[in-house]
Amino acid sequence: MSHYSTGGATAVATTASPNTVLAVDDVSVSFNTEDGTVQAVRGVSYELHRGEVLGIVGESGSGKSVTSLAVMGLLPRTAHITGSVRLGNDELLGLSERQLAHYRGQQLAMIFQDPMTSLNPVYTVGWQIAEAVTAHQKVSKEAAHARAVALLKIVGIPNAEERANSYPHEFSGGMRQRAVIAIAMANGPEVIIADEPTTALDVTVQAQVLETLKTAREETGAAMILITHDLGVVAGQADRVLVMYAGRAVEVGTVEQIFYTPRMPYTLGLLGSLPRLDRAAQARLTPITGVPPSLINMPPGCPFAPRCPMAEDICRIEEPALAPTTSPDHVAACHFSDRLEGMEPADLFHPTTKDDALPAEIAAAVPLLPGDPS
Amino acid sequence: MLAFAIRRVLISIPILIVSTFIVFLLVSLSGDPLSNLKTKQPRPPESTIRNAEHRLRLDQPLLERYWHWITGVIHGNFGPSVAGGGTLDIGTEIGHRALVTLRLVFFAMVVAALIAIVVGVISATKQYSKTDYSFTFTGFLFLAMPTFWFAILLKEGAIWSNKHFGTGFKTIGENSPNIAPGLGSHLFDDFNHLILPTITLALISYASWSRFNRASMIEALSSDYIRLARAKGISPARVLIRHALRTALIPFVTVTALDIGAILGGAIITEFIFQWRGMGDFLLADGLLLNDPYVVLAWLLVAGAAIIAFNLIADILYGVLDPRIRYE
Amino acid sequence: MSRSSRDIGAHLVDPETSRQGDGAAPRTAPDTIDPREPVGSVDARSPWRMSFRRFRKHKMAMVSLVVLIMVVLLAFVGGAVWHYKYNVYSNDLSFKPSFKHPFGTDSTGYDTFAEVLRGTQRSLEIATFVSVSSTIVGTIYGAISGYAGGVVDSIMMRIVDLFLTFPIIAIAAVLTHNIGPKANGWFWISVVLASLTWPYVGRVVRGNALAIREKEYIEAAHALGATRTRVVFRHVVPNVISVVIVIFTILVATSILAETALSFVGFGVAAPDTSLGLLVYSAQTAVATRPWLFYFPGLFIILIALTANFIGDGLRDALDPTASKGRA
Repeated sequence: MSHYSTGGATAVATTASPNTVLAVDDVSVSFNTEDGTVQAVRGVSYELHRGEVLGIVGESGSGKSVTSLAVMGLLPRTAHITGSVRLGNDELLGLSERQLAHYRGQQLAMIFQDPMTSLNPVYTVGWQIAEAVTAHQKVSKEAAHARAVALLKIVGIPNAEERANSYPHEFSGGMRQRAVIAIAMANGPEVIIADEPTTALDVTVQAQVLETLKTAREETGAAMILITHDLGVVAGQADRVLVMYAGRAVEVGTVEQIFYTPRMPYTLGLLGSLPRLDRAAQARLTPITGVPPSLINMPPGCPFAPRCPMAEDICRIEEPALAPTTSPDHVAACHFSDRLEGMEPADLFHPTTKDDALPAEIAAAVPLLPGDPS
Repeated sequence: MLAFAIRRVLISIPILIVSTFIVFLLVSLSGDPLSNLKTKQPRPPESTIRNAEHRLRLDQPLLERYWHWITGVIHGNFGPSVAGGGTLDIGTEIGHRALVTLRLVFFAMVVAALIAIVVGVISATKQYSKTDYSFTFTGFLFLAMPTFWFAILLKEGAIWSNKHFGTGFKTIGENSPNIAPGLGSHLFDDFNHLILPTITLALISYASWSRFNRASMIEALSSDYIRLARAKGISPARVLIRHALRTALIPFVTVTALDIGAILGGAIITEFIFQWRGMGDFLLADGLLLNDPYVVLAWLLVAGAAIIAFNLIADILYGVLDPRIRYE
Repeated sequence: MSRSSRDIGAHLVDPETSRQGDGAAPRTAPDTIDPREPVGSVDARSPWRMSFRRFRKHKMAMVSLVVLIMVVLLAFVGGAVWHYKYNVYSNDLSFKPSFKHPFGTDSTGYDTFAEVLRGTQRSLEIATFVSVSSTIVGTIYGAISGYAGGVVDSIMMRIVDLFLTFPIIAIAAVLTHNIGPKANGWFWISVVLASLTWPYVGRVVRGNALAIREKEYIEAAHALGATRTRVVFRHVVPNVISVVIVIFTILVATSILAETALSFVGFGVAAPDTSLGLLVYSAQTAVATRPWLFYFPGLFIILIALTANFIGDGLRDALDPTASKGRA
């Protein structure tokens, strides 16, 4: 059981409407390590509404996975968690493992990143799905097995009857992930959390798995939290998007608002880092230079300031709060979010050139590509 | 599965054959079987020595001797003995002795495995707690404990307990000479004699296994499939036993079985202290003390075969427990 | 052992990055340590300094180091300056421990303290010889076998299997039962024990070398143009050294337990020299009546084996903090 204490103020107005299935309120997670206290998550709040898909986007280390693990109660004992997580009317933070087991797999399901290691290698896939069923429903073993086969069919596994008696190592990565989705669907959850479900898979398989996730939503009517670092995945699947940086939400809005009218330089930079097929082949990517900050002993001010081309003095002193921008449901954490109106990524971030991308010694060794400025 | 098992058996056979030759070489070079005879006072007549030499086939070249021996073994004849004045039937005797030792080894391994599993699981779930540290320290203590010293301690403790509390621990031999007829009383008597040596051997052996199990459990508990199992909402106890322990048992079985050599070594010492007439006594007293090469050879053969068989069982068991291995 | 719960948080701090993506080696045999580069930290510290720091944190290992050094000093320096010698008997028969005879005397008048110190000297000498020689031989053998791979590796490992089939004490007894009172008997006993323990080192080192070979940074080094020798020295050797150091300390414990057991059954160090095992043997019948003869020798055996094991554990944690196998 993790260290827990009740939180206080909310950052974003959260009136619990009957449409809200999951309400995360000012959740913070920290770990004590050899080098100091790591603030992995610093006051994240969001609401998940019935049937919607919330995409949580961020780099490695932004805290996106840790937040969801906190919701499920799967963080290690060394994690210190504050805040509130409400599933319907029930508070989840602070519950014991046995109490949490009541919700997990039933109302709250999770899909993890690496399908190669998610399944227990010594039990058949069908057995593992059936186990999820019998954990929460009083049915016979045969009925559970039948349900497992049915679920495998729904997620698109061919020869479901035979495959149910196969072991995980006989499945490919994509198939294993679909089996994991079947497990998540087994008891008709209200919320499915998918933590980077396609990151470890080939591009061609990614599309299949995303398709399966959509099927899962349709079959169960569940709301979904889709965590990823891939904006392309978010664009195709999410209704709303929450961008995280250095343990905090820095922009929240609908998928159109985020993609077409971003109001936080980091979001703009993320969009600029995406290769676009509709742009000229010679157009260069505009990456964000620098690295994310260390989460130990963070300096004051906006954590993105060191990498932000528009940073000014106030940015290094005061960390901006999430504030509404053009519409109340589109919030961004930037002192100068208005300045971003109508901006393209290339307006703010420099494209890479041969010189500032690589250190001199290595640049000299890399041969010129056609079209490179010499 | 069957193909896998057969392959394993086939690989073992050449190893066994080469082992027998090397063992024969070893024993032939390690001492003179006639030294006891030759150093007797007064020195026996030359003819007696010649006869003994001939009986023990020492006048034949090495390879012939080996061939003679190994073909004899296949027919159940383990060769001429020095022990018992040359009248000892090594084959029959070693059969009896092996059964006696098997009793001890079997029960000790079972008890040690059970202790190791329980201690390992508790330590892993209560990592870094006082319980964990005490278990670890106790384990280290038993790892450092000489078998012979501990056996003597236990024996003395039992004798003391018998004197002061009237308990009925048996400390000598593997059974008593005058037992009332009937299977029940025989079994009871055997069991009585079995307790102390089993506890000794089990306590000496469990320590490294429990540390291994603890490490395996910790690793299993931090794995992705345990995380998924928890996310499925199955009860914590079930996650622990059906998922974590089940996977941790796979390498555990191997480690346990591979330790059979060490356990047999421990059994030799334990039998020595408790004066059992088992394999240990057969090797030390009848074989080495009397410089009887054929007894030693028979012993090494039987011990070697038993250990190889054990490893085989372990391999097969591994295949049973881990489906990934079966289809290689 | 006394590490704070904070330390395990270190590698769990960032669940964002998949731990599978770091090129982790495939599961190796249970008796190897999975080698990984030290977890990167923010400032660049040399791996050896970090290891040293981690070792210092391991309280039991530090305490053990101090105790072991004290025992060694006591045995060699104390043994030299103590006014009673182990092979000179006095008129004080079966005295209880006192200032004059801290560990008492036996029925012939020998000073037990002197005997224990002498026995400790012998046991330490043998243990050191065995550990050093079998570690060297085993490491070279294992490194070659593991790095070579293929058929060479198979054959070399089959030979190791042969050695590992039998209990050490059995083969050792077969080989040494005629040595005993010979001059420099202790040297030959060391040779025998070393020749029986190097395969354990060989197997572990080979497993490690095999795992390292597969790792991506070796491929990367080759891709950057490193020659085989350079790869072996810059990458294979440092990783193997960590394993070897740990194995060495464990061998010290194993050797002393093996040698004392051998001496106990009469096939090791024998009169006129003495061994801790021999002392325990003589004290068998006196446990209740003259306990000092039994407990002190046993205590020293346990001390040496225990401290060696703890130090080995501390070294394992210090040199390879990501290893999960066999952690205390």
